[in-house]
Amino acid sequence: MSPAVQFYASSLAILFGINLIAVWGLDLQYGVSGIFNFAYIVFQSAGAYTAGLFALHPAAYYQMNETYIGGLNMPFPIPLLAATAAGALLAIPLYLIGIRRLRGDYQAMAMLVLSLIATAFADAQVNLVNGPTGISFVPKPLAAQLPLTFLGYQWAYLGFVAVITLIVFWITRSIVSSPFGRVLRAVRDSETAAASLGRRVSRARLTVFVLGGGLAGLSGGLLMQYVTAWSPSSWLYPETFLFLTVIVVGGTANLAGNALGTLLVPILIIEGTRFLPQIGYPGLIDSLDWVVIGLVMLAFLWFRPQGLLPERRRSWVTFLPGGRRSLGDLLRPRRAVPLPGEAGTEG
Amino acid sequence: MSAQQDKDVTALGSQAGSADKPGREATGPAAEGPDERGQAILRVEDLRVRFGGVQAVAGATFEVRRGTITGLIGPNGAGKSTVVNLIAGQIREATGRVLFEEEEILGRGADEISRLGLRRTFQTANLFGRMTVMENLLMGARPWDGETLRGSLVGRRKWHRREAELARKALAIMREFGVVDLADELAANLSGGQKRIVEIMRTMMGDPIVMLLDEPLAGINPTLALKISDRLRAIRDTGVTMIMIEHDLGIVEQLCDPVIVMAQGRVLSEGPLSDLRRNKEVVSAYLTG
Repeated sequence: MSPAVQFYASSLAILFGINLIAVWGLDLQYGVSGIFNFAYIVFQSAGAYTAGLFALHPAAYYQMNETYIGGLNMPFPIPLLAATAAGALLAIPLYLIGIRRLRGDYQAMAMLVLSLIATAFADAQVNLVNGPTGISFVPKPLAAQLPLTFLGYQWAYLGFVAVITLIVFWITRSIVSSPFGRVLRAVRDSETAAASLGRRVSRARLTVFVLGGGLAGLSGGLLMQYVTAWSPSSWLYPETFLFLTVIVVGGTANLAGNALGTLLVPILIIEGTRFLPQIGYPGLIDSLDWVVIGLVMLAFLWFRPQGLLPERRRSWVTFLPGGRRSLGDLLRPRRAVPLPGEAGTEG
Repeated sequence: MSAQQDKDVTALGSQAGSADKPGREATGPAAEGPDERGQAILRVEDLRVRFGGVQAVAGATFEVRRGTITGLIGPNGAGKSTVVNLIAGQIREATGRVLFEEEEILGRGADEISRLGLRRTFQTANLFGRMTVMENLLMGARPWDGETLRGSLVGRRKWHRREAELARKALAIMREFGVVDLADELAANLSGGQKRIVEIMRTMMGDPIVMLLDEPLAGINPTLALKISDRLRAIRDTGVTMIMIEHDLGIVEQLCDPVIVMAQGRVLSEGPLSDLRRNKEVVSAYLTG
């Protein structure tokens, strides 16, 4: 495999892992808990900027007339931890503004407006994160310390992203399959009924909102330290709809569905357009990406709203000792579970 | 089905109520002695609430004795469901008092009131539609440690054990109602009557002290309604108190004593239905329509 192909393949794999972390975080909020967070990209962006500002030297160091706060030049993994914390902490005020009291379409509109405000603010306030130009030349983690070639570092970063992705998978799967995950799904289905059964609805929603924000921040940090640059044009509000399309296509509240959606939408569809013959004015095909993504979203909403891999129905058998609840559940086909009535035990 | 699972299901008959230990915020019906039967467990005093220009509840006052099924009847718009919503904490802005075991609960949140042991069903069955019947029942259990973020990430062995206990209890309750074969069905796919049964079963999962039942038998066929009535009587006999809104006076007569008649947001009269049938005010306000 030529170095160019290796670089391209590893880049796609890295982006797949980073996007998947973000998608799992959003699906915890949207698919599992029913929160319409149309400002999700803001959380990823907060993580990206934070990682950058923690990893960069102060602006004056570079003598490039850039203006941004921070520039702490902190070593790995502090920028990534700070990115995760930034996403999680940002969730608290945004929860109070857009989630705590608002529901449904009002909630969605409030979050969308917050996303627009955040982008406009970062764009206009040049002293904060260097305005529309954004920040760039962010140091890659351990790049100076590791004796690796450019391509070797690429594969090492892929390995690092893969490990983080597996850890995030373990966390999200633990949550979704646990009694806590059941409470979140109950809150999604009927907040009133969940409260009437003694569940603290606001606490559950805040917890998952902070958790999803943290995962968005982490994915933003990983992305920033990979692409090394970030500006307001990187996180316009349609980016949130890209993540939502991934979830709708792959299947809500299904981690494997999320992975399939991430493979299909941001990787296959967007990358696939690169291989189309150029037609019309230069850049026309690229600008049609969003048209295709929008049409895919509409098609699924109309014809397969449950996504390619729908939310899994958990058999009563799995709640009892001996019932299957291993990771193999994801890989093996589901066996038909005989019900007590069928077994002649129903009286 | 494995031998263990088969054993789990077939050995369930007498296990309902044994697995879910009452939480620290409630004593549970099992703690009551026979001497406590008949004492007021819930007191509603001068309850008033207004929605815009409508006085939905206008000074309702009544009490509910422990271990009874107290019927709440009245014409449409009498304020019955609003009173239940106020007791259960779904509506919090009101004046007056609601005392549960001499503790003021008016204005508290629905979750807090539920944790005290007051559980409710809804006028329109309110299930978790994308969850199975089994999962709906598991949600009926009192809140427990496994339902926290920390619990989901650590201590899985512990919550697996607890969850298995709750699942056995849920299966036992389903078996009592004869709906075990619905265990894996999504709640959204159930018929209206089945949804009401699941809601009652879910309420039972939490070992309630008081059950607030808002038209629990509406839309259920007469045979099944009879069966559910028997189950409700059996639950009452274990010491659970119930307040039941019901329009079918035949059912009210069989199940409820006393019966409270409401009209225009007030309590019109109270007593056995046979006595109320002779009360002209009640007859003109409700019984003759």
